[in-house]
Amino acid sequence: METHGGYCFTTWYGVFDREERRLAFASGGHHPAYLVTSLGGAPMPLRTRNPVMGAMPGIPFDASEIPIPETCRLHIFSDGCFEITDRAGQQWSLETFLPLLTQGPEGVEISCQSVFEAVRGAAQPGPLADDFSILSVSFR
Amino acid sequence: MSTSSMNITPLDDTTLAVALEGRLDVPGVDGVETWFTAALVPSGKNAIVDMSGVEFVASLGIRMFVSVARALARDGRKIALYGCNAQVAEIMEMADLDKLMSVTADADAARAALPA
Repeated sequence: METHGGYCFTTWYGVFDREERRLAFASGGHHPAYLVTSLGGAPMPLRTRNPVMGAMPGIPFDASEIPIPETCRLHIFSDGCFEITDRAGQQWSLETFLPLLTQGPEGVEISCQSVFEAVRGAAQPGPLADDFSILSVSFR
Repeated sequence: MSTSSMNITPLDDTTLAVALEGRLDVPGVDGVETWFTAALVPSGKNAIVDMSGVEFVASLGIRMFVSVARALARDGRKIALYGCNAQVAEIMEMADLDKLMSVTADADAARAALPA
């Protein structure tokens, strides 16, 4: 941190093996990415417990790996997507946000735009407090 | 306008007690970070931080705690947080900072987590 202006950052990193249909991933201080499958059910959190990047240089980081089903979508997003205060003055959390990843009319193929519009519609008027960044990856 | 405030009390010769309140979002961190760092880092003491009045911690707030914890750790000191609400506790858990600082349920556990 001392050599980077006192800053640290969180990260989520994944590598998909198309032949084996396996996703290797690791995260550092970051909330999970979520896998939504066509089988339904709650989004599956993908996270490994590692500290914020830069907080503890030199420590080993844990990684993990999962098989990727035929039809599914991986959502990777910033905390600005869910750390909002809604129009009733309530602070959102991950638990409030996650249903948006499964409740779209498109099912697994829910669009980033529809997630944004749902959050934008729930949040207090004016600019969102933080960046809204979401990457949604479809595996076919 | 700042959305946070801070109060500091010496507990004993080795430990400061800090109470933070409000939101540690961008304006909240702007409002307390300089005072928080200036009070803890040069003090030569450990610190316990009462988080029960903190409603929310954004990534800048995490950075503030990490920065101070790293500065204290350079000479064997430590910071312990306690009394986080459920959402703040989840944010701290996601940051996975338990190797750098303790996050405990109450003040007694926070003091017990500090170096003797």
